[in-house]
Amino acid sequence: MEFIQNIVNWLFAPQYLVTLMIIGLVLFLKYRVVCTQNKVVAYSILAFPVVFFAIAAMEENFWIQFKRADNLPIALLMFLIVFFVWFAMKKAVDNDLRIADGKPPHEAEPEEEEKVFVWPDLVYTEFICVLLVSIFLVVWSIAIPAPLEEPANPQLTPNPSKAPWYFLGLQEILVYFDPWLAGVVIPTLIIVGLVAIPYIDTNTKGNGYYTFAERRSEIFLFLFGFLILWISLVFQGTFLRGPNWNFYGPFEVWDTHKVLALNNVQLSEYIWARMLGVGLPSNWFIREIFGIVFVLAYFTVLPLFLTKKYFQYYLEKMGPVRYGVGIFLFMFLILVPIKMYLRWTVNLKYFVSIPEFFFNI
Amino acid sequence: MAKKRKGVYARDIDKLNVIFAITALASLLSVGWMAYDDFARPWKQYQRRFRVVQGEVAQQQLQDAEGQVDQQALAQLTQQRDAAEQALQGNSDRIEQLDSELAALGKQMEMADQNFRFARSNYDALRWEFEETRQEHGEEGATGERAAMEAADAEIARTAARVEALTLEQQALEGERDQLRNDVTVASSEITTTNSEIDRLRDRLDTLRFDWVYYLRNAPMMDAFNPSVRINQAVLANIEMDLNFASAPRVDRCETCHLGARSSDYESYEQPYTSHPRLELFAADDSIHPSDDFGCTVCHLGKGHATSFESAVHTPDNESEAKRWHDELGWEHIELWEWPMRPGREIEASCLSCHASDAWISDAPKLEYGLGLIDKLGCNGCHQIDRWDDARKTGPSLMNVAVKTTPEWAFNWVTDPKSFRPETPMPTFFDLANTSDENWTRRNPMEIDAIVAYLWASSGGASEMPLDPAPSGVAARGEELVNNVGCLGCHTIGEFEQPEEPGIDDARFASPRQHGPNLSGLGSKVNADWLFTWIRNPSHYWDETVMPNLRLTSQEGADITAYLMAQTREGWDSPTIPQVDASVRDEVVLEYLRRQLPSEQAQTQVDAMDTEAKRVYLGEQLISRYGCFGCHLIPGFESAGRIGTSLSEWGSKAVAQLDFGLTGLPHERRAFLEQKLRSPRSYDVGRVRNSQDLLRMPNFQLQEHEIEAIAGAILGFTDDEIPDAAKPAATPDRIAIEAGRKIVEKYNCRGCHIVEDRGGAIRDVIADVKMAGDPGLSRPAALTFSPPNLRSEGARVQPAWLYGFFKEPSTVRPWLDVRMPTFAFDDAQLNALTQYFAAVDGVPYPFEETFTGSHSYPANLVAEGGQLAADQPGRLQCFSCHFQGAQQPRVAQAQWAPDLALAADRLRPDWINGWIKDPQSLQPGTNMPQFYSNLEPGRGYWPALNNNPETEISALVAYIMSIGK
Repeated sequence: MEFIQNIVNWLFAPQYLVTLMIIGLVLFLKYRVVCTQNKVVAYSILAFPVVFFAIAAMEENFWIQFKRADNLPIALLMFLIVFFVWFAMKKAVDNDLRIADGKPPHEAEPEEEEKVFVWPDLVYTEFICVLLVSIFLVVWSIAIPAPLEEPANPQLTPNPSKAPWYFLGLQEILVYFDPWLAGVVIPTLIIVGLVAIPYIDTNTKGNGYYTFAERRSEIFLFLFGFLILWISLVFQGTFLRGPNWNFYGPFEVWDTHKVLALNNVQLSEYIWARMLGVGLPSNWFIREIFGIVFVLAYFTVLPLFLTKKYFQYYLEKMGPVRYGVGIFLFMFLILVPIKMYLRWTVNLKYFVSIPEFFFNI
Repeated sequence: MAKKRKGVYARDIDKLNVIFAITALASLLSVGWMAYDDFARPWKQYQRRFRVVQGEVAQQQLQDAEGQVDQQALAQLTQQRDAAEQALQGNSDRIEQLDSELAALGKQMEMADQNFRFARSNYDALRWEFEETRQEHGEEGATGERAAMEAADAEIARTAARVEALTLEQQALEGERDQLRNDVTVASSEITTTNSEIDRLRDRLDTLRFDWVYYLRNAPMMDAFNPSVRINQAVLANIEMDLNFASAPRVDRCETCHLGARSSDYESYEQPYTSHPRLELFAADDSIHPSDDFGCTVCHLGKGHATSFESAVHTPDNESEAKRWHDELGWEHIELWEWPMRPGREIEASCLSCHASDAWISDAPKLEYGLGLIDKLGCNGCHQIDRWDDARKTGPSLMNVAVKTTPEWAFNWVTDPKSFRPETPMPTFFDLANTSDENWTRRNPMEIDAIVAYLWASSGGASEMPLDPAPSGVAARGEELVNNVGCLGCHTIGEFEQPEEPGIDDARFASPRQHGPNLSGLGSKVNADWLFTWIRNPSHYWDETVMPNLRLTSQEGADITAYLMAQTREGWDSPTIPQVDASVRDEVVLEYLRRQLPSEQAQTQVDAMDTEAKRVYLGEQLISRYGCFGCHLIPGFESAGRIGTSLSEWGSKAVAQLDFGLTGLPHERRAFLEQKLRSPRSYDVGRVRNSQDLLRMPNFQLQEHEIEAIAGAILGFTDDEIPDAAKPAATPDRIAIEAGRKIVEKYNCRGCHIVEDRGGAIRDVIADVKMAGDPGLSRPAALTFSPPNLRSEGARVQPAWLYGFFKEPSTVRPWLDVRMPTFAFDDAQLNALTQYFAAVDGVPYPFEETFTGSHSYPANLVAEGGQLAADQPGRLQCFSCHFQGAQQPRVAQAQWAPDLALAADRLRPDWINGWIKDPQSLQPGTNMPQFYSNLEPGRGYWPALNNNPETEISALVAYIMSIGK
């Protein structure tokens, strides 16, 4: 048992967990037909979070975190996410199969086309749903009272100090990025990006019906950003980040005195000291020149290269302005996991680090 | 509508209706549940049950009250009343008539009174009108208004006269009626008085019933208005709740459930209703700490504004209580509240929040024991603790240690002090949990050797010993002296019997005789010359010592030295220093040198040092590392700082800041502390550390009750900020008392004297010695050879005399062998002490009219007093017990009393007065006869003063104050 727990603890280290989730997402999308049409596979997928949490909760250390009243929504979130992703994919696959057969999507069937009344078909149903949700919330709040903590004390902050669950993704990104990026630029870009989606993605396929085949890249990109870069980080922040923001496996004791060697290295140190074998130049611009060139190239040369090589189709379809905004957002989206992997593999601290005026990338 | 258009809709409306009905109902139920959940708070159950308890108590009190009423007297009173009512029958017509007349008058009175009040307000309005008009139009322009005002004034007079007339008439009629009914009224009121307690309790039982009013007042919604079941909260004006960014008056709601806390009626009930212990001190409205002013959480901690068992953060006293609470009350450990309630066994620690600087906290014996241990063990030597900021070092000075003992003895002593003297506060530094492996077994003796080498190399002062040549002493005479002159007030010789239950009952004061070291084995430790010099003048060797000078003669000193040098310790007659491992020494010297020098230079330096240089260098480094200077004065370390962590606010230290090592202890402050005291180095066990980073606190080899007491005190050192308004007011008297108590404590006055009703440890020793010398002596008689009880000393003696006595003690009781020693007090201490005694007794300080030079007594009063005191039958014969100059009294030695000639300069006349009147109340058990137990005129002894006791006492005082003048 302990052997299995150790394996799970090891697998839940962020680098493996994120990698596994990316692989899982890709496999799910690739074998979506089997995943949604084969009952055994489908039920296995749906049962996975239930079984995982049920077994894991039997372990003392996991149970301590799982049972906390403020962690409960996150556990619920895991079930709901798996279910709804699977459910939407099932609808999409159904339609894709119909379209492949030359039939219209399910939603476009004549009997579905018919208009229904706002009252009672819509509002009455909504009202019942409002009641059901209210009942659920009332009963929840009685059964599991909101946990209140001690009065805030600037001299004695809780360890770990955690953001509200919906911000845990951002707090996790703070591990890898400078606060001005993780706390200001990235959240702004997330909001701007979400607002911009309807203007960038003008593809009318999939309007009013579920489909995957007709919108592969859009859905993949969305699921990647949402599941990998948001939900998985919320999960890590809730269940895997313990005292001193150290990483703890799900079955590990949250020992305040756990020590991890976090020896991170700047890109400039890699190049000047380790590769070129000379000391760091004293002038910050010369010192950081490689990082600056790298970052600039990442946002200029690389997009041009990608466009030329792979995305010509999109450029033509979307026009230069839409495509320009889109590729910029895309580059930023991809920068986050790139930086995370570089941290995990080569302990890269920052590409550009200019403590002279607090500028780090 | 839905029915009419069925089939048009996408959904089955009938089904939706059913679903809606069910969800609506469920919603209603959930809202109802929510309201109920909000209404049914656990504390309401406690209050309901307490109402039953209150009923039981009132019922019991009613029974007791009924039992106490004299039924016979009551029956008689009832009979009287009935008889009086019978007698009243004859006048019933007249009474009826009076009643009806009074009723009629009442109606008229009502009208008249109303007229009067209306006239008055009318007048006020018209007066204002007149004043305003006159101001604006002058006197002439306001004639009309004046007339109106005057008319209204006349109306007031008229109506007032009517009211007066009616009042008089009414009084006359009422007087007549009362006269007629007088007997009945008197008897009835007596019956009411007799039954008043019973009636009160009956009323109370009535109000405690569960009737419909109770349920209505406390029904949901209705309870918003004036419920009887309500949260009882104390809002504390003086004590604030720290909200980190702000503070607000503290609110304690504990008495919402702990309903019987303030009253002694509920002592026999269980929690939560039981009475608070020691109501004279706590909780009760007339106690020193009423809960309206101090609340509960100031001492108990926990969350004061919580109203459920769990959220108030109750803390169980032990495992079994925790389990019981968990099973019965659903108790869980709440980690998120920084200040869980103090468990019962720790509660005394809270006293320190306000009384941190009090010398004695005698109502908290365990805390006081803990503080006493901290003081004795010298924790403040290494750890800063506010309370001991200006304290002297605990251990003896080592500035001149070479003249006192030998390096061989010192080596063995440091190795294991307890093997030489089991009760020594000196802890063990070597061969502990983190220094007992193979390497350390070789290293430890080498380190001790180095420390001793440094001490001897730096010691000075050898040439100053001894003061004068010692004559040869006789041990037997020395023993007698030690037993009699007072050495044993502070020291013991031989095994000291611990009080039976140390730590609980006055333990701190049970052992003032352990103030100084146990003298057994002294001969194996010190050399005779040093000892001879030391006992004759301790401050010659060490000017900060608290050991006083007993004014021993050279011969006495030699005798005592002979006796004490004969006290040797088995196995310590010729201690040796074993051969230490030179290679280990070289390694360690290198280790220390490398902290300051590059490796190569360090190595060169080691090679250049000879053995002696290495020993001394290393000794200095080690003394610095282990902090020996925390307790001892050591040359070269006179101003070294403390090496340990500060304990001043340790009780508030975050648990996350404590390293529990690999002990697996629960993460709680107390657990950490107790383990630290039990085995100070155990947090290193299992850790890989280099020798410089090892923990270095020594092991005091404490027993469990000592550990609990010390931990309890340290937990009380918090950063609580209690405003001065809530603390005891710093009056001049209080300041003087605290200052005095500190001196009493420091110099161990209680070793010999009873001060503030405690102490006098030497009394039993002296009694034993006296009874051994004279088998016929009774114990109370033997006890009279003890140093005096200092109860009411301040009221007794004049400050100037006391000052002189402390400075240079003179003989007051020539028959005592025990001596008041000469302490090296400075003026500040002398003033503090004299003021202390005056302040304790609340007498004027330092001057008083009656004992200043200008005061004189009438000559005839003095003469009569002398006659009354004279040594003749039928008189008081004062000098049969009191000394008269050098002349010894007639009675047995055990009843001797001080020379009355000393009184004029020594005693306060007011005290003599009170003393003659009632000596037993001032000093229970005194030999002084109770001459004036009856102070009624004519009960005196001296016809010339009309046998009037008061006058006689005044005459005696006048006489005593005039002897020798």
